[in-house]
Amino acid sequence: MIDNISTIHFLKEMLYLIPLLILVFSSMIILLVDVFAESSNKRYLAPLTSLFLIFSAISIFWLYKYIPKSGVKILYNMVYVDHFSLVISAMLIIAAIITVWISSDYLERYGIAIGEFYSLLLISLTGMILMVSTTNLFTMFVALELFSIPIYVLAGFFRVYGKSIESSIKYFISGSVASAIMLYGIALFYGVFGTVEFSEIERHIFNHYDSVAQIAKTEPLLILGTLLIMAGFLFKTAMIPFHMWTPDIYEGAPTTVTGFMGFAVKATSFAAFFRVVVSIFNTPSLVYSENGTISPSSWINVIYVLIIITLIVSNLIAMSQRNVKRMLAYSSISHAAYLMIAILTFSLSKTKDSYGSLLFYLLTYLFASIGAFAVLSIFEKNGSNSVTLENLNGASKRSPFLVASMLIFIFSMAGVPPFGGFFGKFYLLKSAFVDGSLSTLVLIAVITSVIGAFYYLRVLVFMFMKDVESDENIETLNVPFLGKLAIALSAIAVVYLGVFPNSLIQFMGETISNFFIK
Amino acid sequence: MDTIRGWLPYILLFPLMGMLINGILGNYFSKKWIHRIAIAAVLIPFVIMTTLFFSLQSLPEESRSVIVHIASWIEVGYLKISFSLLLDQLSAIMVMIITGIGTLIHIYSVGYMHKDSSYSRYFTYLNLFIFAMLMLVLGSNILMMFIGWEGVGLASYLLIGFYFQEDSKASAGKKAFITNRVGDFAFLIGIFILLFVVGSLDFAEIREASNTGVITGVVATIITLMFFIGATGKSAQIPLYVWLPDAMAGPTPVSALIHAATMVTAGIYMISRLHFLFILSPFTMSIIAIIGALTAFFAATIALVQTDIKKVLAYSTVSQLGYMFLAVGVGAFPAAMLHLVTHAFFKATLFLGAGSVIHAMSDEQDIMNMGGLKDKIKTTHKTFLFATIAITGVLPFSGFISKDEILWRAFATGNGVISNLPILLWIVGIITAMLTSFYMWRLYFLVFHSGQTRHQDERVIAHIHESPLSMRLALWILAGLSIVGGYIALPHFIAHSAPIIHSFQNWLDPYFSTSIENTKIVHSASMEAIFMFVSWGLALFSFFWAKKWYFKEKSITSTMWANSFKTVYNILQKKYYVDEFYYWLIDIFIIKFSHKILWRTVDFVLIDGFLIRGIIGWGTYITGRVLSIFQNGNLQFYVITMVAAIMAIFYWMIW
Amino acid sequence: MAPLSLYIMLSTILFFIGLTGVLVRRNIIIMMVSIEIMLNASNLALVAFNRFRFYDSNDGMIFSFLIIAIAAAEVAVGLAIVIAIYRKKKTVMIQDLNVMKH
Repeated sequence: MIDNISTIHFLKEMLYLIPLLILVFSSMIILLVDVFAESSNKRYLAPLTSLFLIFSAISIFWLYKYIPKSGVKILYNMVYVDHFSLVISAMLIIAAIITVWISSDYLERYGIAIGEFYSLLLISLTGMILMVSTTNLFTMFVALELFSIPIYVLAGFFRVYGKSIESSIKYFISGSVASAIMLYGIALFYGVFGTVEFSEIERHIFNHYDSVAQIAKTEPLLILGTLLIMAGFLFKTAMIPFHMWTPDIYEGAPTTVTGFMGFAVKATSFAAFFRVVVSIFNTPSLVYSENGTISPSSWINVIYVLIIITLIVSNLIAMSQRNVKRMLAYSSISHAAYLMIAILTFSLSKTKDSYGSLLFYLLTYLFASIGAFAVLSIFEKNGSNSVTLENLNGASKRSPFLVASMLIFIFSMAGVPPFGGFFGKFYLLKSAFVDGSLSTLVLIAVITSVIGAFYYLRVLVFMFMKDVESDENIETLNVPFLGKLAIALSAIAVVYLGVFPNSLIQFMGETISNFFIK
Repeated sequence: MDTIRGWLPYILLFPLMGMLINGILGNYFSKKWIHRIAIAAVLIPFVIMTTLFFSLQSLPEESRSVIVHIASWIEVGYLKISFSLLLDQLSAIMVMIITGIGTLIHIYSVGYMHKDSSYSRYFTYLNLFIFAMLMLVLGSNILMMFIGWEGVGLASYLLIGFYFQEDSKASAGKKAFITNRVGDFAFLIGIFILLFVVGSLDFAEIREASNTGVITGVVATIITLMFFIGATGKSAQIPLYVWLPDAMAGPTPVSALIHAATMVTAGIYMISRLHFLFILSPFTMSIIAIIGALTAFFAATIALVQTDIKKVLAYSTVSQLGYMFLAVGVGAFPAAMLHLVTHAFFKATLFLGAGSVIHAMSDEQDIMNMGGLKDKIKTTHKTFLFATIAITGVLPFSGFISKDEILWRAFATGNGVISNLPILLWIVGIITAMLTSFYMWRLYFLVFHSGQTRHQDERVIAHIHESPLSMRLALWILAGLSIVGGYIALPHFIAHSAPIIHSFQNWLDPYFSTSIENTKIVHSASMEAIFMFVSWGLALFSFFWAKKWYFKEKSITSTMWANSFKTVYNILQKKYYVDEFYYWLIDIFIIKFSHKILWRTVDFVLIDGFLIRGIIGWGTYITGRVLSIFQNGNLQFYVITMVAAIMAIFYWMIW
Repeated sequence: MAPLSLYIMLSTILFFIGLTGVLVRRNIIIMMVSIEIMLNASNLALVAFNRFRFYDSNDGMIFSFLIIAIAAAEVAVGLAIVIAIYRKKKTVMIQDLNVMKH
């Protein structure tokens, strides 16, 4: 098959991997620096890490101009770099930079300012970027494990706190089971097709099968494989009833890690799932029955029902939470349902309007969610590793800056107009509504978002309107410089996305339309 | 054309940058750098605008309207709103005024605020104001204008309440903000109706729609009335003028810039910008003219008896704005713009002069405690005198030219709705001119002449000193402009006979071309000369009267008059009890009705208590609690749920 | 040689043994062993499919090696977490770890 690959060619392929290579090497450099540096110099680890991340981001911008719109396949088709993967990678790196900036002070307060944190973060980021830049199920699985395992460790990073290690082991066991299930699905796909390359699988399905019913009769293993792979993604994206791990892990993990994983794991899984949907699941014979209507037993209907359950249940449970981190966990589950709506819309309607909504929603969610967790990480009391609503009493007097930023993030997540989240929701629901078959879903989404507004705004009620009861809460908070920068930039980004959504939404739409360049 | 396209965005960018730099990093800078940055942020746009003005002038007349598209902003269905700037004859003049006077007032503030501890906050707000005001005048659609409109409202609120440590000043800011909200609400409704009818908020498309008859008379009347209510809020006209006198709580340079020269003229600018819409409705135009004339008159009468130096000037501003509304009401848009320009010059001079006086008198504002300052603060005295001559309308000075133009047009333009209106408007206008002359000379004499300084505290009198150079510089430049500023538009009868071009009118006429066809002038230009002398004579009469009463000591006659017309005097002193009336209204509607019935009963008990807390709140809360029972903390239960879900889905899919 | 179906049957049985182990055993270490069994079930399926259906390439076999490596990494991390738990709580039983719920 492949022979006589010259060194030059190999080097040229490495060029496309520069963002990844920077991350891999920097993770090792950070580890070495951590070992050899004086302990007084360790506060420079965070700026060093963010410097590497910025290099990686710059290389992504450069690659974006360099690669053709149809993308490039390298390393014997194991890795596929295109505009979509670069856009997602850029978002992930931004998330990592914000996390690093907030974490440096946060870790110091907890007395575990060690380099492994940054190193693990970088390795995890490498896995995420690899996962979104592949069209090969094997590579995808390896990447999935590569980003999951460091996250398990990061969740238990506060190993002296019971909650932290509890969340770590819960995440580890449930995540491993989900991966094993997904792996079995991949094995079944391999058994059916003899290949794990998306395009070849698609061609095979297209050529050999006509409808869902026929597949169910002749090759039930394919249906089972589809389901098992989908289950892996549903677990990572935390759709109800695959969500049970989410609240516990969000609550127990260090708050900055929660912020990172709340966005990054979700974005990565959605991006990868989106690729799988576009390339494999969207094949007509997996969706439609013989007479051309959507088959009742296709994966589309499964997702449809799961979205409805997720929207209703997550918002209702979030109402009854007192712990803000746990509440945001349920809120992140409901956001996942929105993102699933975007994927469904994309599968059902081929209008260009719907293209940009998924990526734009992810972008608004990036800043709002990481920003909110960043604010919480500063508010949380030492040692408790959690924030209840009562902890936020009188917050507006303790740090007007943090509360103002939190207001922006919360409004954005609740979908209040001049902020990014509103336009994220708006474009997403609009394109879903234009495609008539999803109008019930849109209606439920709108109603549940009203419930959502209730618990989001309750955070603000506690921050602004409740007075401090005990003396310990009164002292003003000192926000560290890097943290302040990160939060301020996130807040500005949220406002910018709300005021000028247009150019970005077009940009995102173009990125996705590149999928159809053959 | 390309120069304009390239450079126009920078006019907005520099004040924005200045605001951000001073706002974020201001605490780390020394005062010197704070005002250098702030002044540069306004001066550079002024320089840019001056060059752009000439390149605009070099364009042929019909293409003197340049739209610079920066970004598309909102695109939802048929609603497409772009973020683009419009430079044409009208906005060019406004930008020149805003940046020019803005620069001078920034320079003046360096001296005036030099002791203040919130130096960077002050200049941040000033730059914010300049940015918002430029956005207001440069926006190419109503929504951008509205953002600027709200932005200047915000800046004005922040600056009125600049000394927020004092309760009365903080609440003056709130009063201004809330009063403006009433107007803005109407403005917004107007925008919505317009959007509904036209389907676009672009000025060009609205103009197209009004010229082609898409907007009918009745709709135009509703929209323009709504817009006019918005304008009465921002430009302090009856019935929403009450905030402006209180707005004098802010620092004096702010009163000069925002509450005299620029922001309060936003209403005039908005009506002029949308004149094609307003002339569709003769009814609204008549209302505007009547409200303008009445405001001019009533504000002038109140100014007669005020003793606070800034309050006199504030009511004078309201009165002069009334003149401008009178002008737009009779369709004399260029005349309104001319008065806007000259008023900006002389009223800014007067306010800055007042600031200089207050500065010299150690923050004393009562004119009854002043007097005899003529020789102690010479620069202030001279510039104040020039500006007073300008506002009272003596021939070679700027105020006369623009005021005469307005009165002439008010008389000369026929009115289709009420036939006797022109002559009434003219009479009210001419009486107001007489009153203006009186209260201004009264102010001037009481401050600078009338014997010795009457202040009780000897130390204050000993401390009287001329202001620093930066303040005097601004005063002289503005005083010079008040003298010569009117020459850009000489009266018709001179301009017709002399080779001097009626340049201001010629510059603006292309923009207002539609309106000129629609408002016919029914009298000949030669009558203008007679009218001019009538108003001149009345102004002189007032001058001598004021001189007789106030030049030496405050004369006994004036006190006698005040005593014998006690009722009138008191009514004027209490400003026609308008504030009290509004307070009574608010008391009934908001405190009694809204608070007791709507809030306590309907909202609190019915909606909040029964509906939200009861049905929805507890219902959802309990459901959530029940659902979260499954989240029992047991990992194996979590995995079982997942596996069970997979099996159920498999059963469903394979069936 | 035994037919493919037997291999797949064995692999399925292994998978369910592993899954059942995770679901019913309380000891975290045993649960991790069960997860390994699940992964190995996939390995067996991959190798068997490769050998019987797609014998002109080695994709499945090579991938099973990758999975063995991943499983090793997973166990390494998992045991580290278990040690941390034991130090903190003096137990490795999953039912004792339910501080966070509802």
